[in-house]
Amino acid sequence: MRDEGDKLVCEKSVMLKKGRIEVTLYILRSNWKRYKKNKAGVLGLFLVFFFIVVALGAPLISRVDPLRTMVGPPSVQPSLTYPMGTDDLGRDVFSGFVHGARISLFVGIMTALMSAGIGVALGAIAGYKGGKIDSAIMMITNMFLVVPSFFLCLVIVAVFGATIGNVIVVIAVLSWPSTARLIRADFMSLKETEFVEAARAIGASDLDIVLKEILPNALTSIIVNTSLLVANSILVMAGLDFLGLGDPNVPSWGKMLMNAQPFLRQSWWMALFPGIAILLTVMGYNLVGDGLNDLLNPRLKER
Amino acid sequence: MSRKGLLKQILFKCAFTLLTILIIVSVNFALIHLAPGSPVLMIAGEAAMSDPEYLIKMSKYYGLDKPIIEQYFLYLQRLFVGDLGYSWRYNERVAVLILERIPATLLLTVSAMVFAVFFGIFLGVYAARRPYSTVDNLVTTFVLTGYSIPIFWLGLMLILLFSVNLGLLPIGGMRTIGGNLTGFDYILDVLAHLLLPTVVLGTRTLALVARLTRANMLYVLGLDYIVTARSKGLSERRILFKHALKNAFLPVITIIGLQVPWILGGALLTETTFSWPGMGRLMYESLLTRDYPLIMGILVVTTIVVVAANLLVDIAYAFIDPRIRITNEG
Amino acid sequence: MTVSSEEPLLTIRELRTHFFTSQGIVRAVDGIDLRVDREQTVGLVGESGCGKSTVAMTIMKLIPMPGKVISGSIVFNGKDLLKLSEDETRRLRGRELAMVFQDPMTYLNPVMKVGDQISECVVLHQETPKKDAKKEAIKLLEKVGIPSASRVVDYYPHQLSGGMRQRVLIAMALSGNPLLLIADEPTTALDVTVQAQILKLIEGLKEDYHSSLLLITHDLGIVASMCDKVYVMYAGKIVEQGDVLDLFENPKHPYTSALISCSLSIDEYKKDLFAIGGTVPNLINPPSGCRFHPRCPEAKDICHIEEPQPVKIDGEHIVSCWLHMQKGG
Repeated sequence: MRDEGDKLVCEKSVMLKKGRIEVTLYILRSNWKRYKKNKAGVLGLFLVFFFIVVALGAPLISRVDPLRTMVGPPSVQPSLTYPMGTDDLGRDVFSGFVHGARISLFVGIMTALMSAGIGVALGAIAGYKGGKIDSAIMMITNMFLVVPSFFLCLVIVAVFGATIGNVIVVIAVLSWPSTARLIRADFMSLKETEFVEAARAIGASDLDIVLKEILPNALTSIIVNTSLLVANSILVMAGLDFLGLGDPNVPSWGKMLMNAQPFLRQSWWMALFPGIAILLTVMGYNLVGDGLNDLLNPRLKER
Repeated sequence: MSRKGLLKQILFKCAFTLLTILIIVSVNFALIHLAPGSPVLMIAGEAAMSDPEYLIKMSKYYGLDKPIIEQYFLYLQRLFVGDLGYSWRYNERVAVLILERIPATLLLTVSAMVFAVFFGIFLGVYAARRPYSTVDNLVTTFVLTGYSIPIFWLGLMLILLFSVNLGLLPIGGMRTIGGNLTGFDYILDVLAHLLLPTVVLGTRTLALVARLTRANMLYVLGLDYIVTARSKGLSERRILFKHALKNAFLPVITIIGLQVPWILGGALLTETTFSWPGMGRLMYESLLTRDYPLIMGILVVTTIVVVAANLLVDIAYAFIDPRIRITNEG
Repeated sequence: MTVSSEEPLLTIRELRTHFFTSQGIVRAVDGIDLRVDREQTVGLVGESGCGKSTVAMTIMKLIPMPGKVISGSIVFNGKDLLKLSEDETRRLRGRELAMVFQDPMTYLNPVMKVGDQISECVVLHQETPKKDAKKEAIKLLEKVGIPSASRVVDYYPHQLSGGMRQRVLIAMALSGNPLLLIADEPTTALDVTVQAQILKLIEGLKEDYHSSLLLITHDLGIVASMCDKVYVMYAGKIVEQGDVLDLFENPKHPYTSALISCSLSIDEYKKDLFAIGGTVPNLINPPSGCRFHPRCPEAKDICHIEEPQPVKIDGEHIVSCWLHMQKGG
């Protein structure tokens, strides 16, 4: 299958001899050894897991309701009781920090999955079929790339309401082009390979070929791209929240920043912590995406 | 052979651009009629809902009782003459409101782009000089932070540092209110106000440009003709900029083209953070008050601007790349 | 500060250039001595991968990563190049020391006009003001035999044929009036019909400019027709050296004889094509003792064990081979 550097998919003969689970474990273990060498990638992975843990364990980490006002005196500086201070209405910033992770991660991941789904589907069709279908899909992709998607996001959310569902769908629908392009390129090169020809010779159907032969090899690009999509979605959602277009009943980092703006001079902690949260989470996903990319698409790097 | 081939490409791109604009405009029209609530709301804006006479006047004017197809063509017709609707809240034509704000946004976005490209290329080149050195690692870290950071937060933090704590730069706006400055002083004043927003808006693009430039430079610096250049005894600077960069630079233009839509979206956030009196801030205000005609109008104008800018970048690319030019010359 | 014309122009001693790769240390140049006198044409000959290009790159101090000079000295025009700073080296490059490379397509900048690539040399080396540079470039193009030079000066490399591109490379190399011109396989990438023209051009220009020429090639025919002296290189070491006539009439090293037989079998009509058995040795783990021993038809026991030292046959003719050394000496 792929060149020596791409160990995510290993030889078919090995797969046939050992069991599927054993093979998967073997692949994961050998790839992890190589991934570990990339310090930045490891840091990214740590950040990603850190915030997943925070998001999942939020109610345990901070029992304070992030949205409840006057849990303490307003505008208190970070202290022992309030490690990240309180905002102008007495809300606990630390609680907001912790609980905000839930919505960010949820929206980020769901959006990324949906966007990847659309992107992979369209990219696969375009790359595999080629010809007029490809040109048509590419033209649509270029159109999406060219329009100001953030503005469109805003308008649609403003018009149709700022529910979580809407936000996820809108961001996903406007961010699939990058994935589609990548997958299309992958498919176009993969469909000329020998194992695809072999499968065709046996008489496998197009769908079979796409699902069983090409897709597993394109998996590396998909995973890398999805991580980057999560990062992007979190940023877009934070932007929407900052502009006041988020769901008002859910604690989010962007909204906290929106509240912090008028009090920047007096209560700097209101702005500092939610922003750091966004920065670190997004950084994490970007680092993982880059790290995976370096691992799975090796370039010449003689020192 | 060259002129025809190039011309054909350009015509095709123009057609594509027009088609995109038509689609966005149609999407806009669809939104008006698909939105929850009646189309009158979309045309008049939320604030106008308290004025029944106005609503009736608008319904008549926009022919809301006519068949959809007719409304569509009326809509296109109006757009063609520049009628973007009327804002009840501002009591002014949308087109006028937007035109007032365009210069400020233009100033900000162009500054940001220039800043990003200029410094991005420099950083990329100097990082590529000694790969994996301290400088290179610093640049890489900076690049990573640059495109992971939410720009409105970056704006707030910079304001905190430079305006609030250090008092070096103004907090917001485009000029000092009540300053009444003229000539050179006025320009300096605007520049002082422009500095932070430019940096904030340009950071992400700078990061991307730096990263791409570095990668391309590393690739090019390993090629044979660089060895020739070195064997001629040329200075390092000449080799980097005249030989390597010329080859590495081309994909950067594509990135610039792709970043234009992003920069406009980013301008919205930046203008909101810095109270910069541009189109983005107008959009924000209209979102707060659900002033739909204004919202839609800005969307249409922004899209047209972005799409047109992209077209220009594409054309420029075709002209600059001597290989494309030459293959067309045959 | 030039040295008198009696002294050699270039003296290389005990040069070792190794590449530190993830697979191991590639000993591309492993202890060679080489000398080029004033206005002399010296050939450096050997198979691909024997390290001869690395010698050239080392002299120019253009060794790519992960290569490094381990030891030795390169005394050029009275100065040890290996001890010079990067700035000093850069001042020499293109001027006293110039190089012509193998593949003129990849060694010319594709997005720069040919004339501009020459002009920048002219401005730098001849200190010509920019406005006159183009005229000088045209003159140089004419000198290397390019027709319609005033039009060609505005061409891009891909608009020229291989031979013309090579002439451009030669023009650039000569623009600084070099004392030593290094030509690394200058005709290998060219059509056979063009090869002779280019070689003749190089020879003629070398005379005109009173330069020395270090000609690196795998083609003995070229060496025979152009060089005064020749060094035969194998697996990072010089195995034989001497006057061209001496060496061709009287080859002492089995590798040299084999090389000569290889090329003669094309000139003379012979029934069997002569080929040297075996493959080019691995420079990370070279064979023990004499590096040629696995492929040598006359290898003796001692050849496996110990490396032969250079032995003078007569005058300039020196060989490193156990066949010509006293046993135990």
